[in-house]
Amino acid sequence: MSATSAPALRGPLMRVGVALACGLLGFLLVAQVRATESVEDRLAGEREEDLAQILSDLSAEADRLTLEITDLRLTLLAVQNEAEGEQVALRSLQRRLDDLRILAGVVAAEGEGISFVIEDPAGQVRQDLLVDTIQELRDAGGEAMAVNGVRLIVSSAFSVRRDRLLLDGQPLTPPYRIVAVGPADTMAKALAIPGGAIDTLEARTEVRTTVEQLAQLTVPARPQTAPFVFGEPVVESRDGE
Amino acid sequence: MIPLIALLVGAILGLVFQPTVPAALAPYLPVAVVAALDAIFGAVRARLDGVFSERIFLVSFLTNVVLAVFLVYLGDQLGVGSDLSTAVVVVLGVRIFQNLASIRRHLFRA
Repeated sequence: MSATSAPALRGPLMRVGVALACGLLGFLLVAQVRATESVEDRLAGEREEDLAQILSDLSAEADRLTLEITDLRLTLLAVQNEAEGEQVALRSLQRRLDDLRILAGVVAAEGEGISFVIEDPAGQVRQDLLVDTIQELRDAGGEAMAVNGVRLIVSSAFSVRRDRLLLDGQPLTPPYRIVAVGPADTMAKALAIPGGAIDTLEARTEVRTTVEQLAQLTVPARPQTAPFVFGEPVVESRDGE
Repeated sequence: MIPLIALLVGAILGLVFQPTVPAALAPYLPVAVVAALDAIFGAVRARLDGVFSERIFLVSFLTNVVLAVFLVYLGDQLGVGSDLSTAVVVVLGVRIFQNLASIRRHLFRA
């Protein structure tokens, strides 16, 4: 069945295909020739004044577009500058935030510094001596400090209860190990000045001290700090100044 | 005879409808037309040689056009621009000339 009908059907179908192909070629040929001619035709048909008009129109359009390009380039530059400015401001804010975090003790701080160990087997060292020592270190540029692993923050306080030394409520037992991030050399010298912290401490019975300068040490963070209850920030208006 | 009439009808349709070539197709249409012309001249030659086959003509027509357009597209993609389309036109032009020479020999015996 199909063996007989297929060739019989294929013949006319093929002929239709050939005719379609030829028709398509004619159509495309004309379309292409017209597309090529059309621009030249249009211009060739114009009078001289019209051609001059077209030329000046096109020049004006080109000028306008050039101006637009310049404008857009300027806008691009301005936007880029602005973005860079914001980057710089962001970096300085980030830096300030880091400083404040270290100051508040909410992050661990690391860097150069000293480790100062006070051995006190006879229990001679009281809070006033520790405060003086820490004060000395702060004066010498110490930034972040911890005593026996407890970070010192702005609200830190030494106290005595039932003859036991406490730092922010945590009992402190000797030996006291003070670590401080800061200029190691300056801090070590500040502790060692005659009549200074080391002299005062070692004047007490059986008290021994060791200073160690370290290129890299880490001061732990304060896990949580008590919230401020009474203080409110004073909002300053910057625009008024 | 019918193909010639179809060609004329297509041309007349083109003149009547005045199609504008879309800008996206503008680089491909000339090459497609030359490729189709090559297929047509090949078909005329085969007819005169007595070996014309409608199937072969249709296949060569389609593959010629598609291949030529593809080569131009490839040239655009490769960055050689119009060079590859020139190459295609030159090759197709040579083939058209060969076919025409063959046709001429048949018609004029010279």
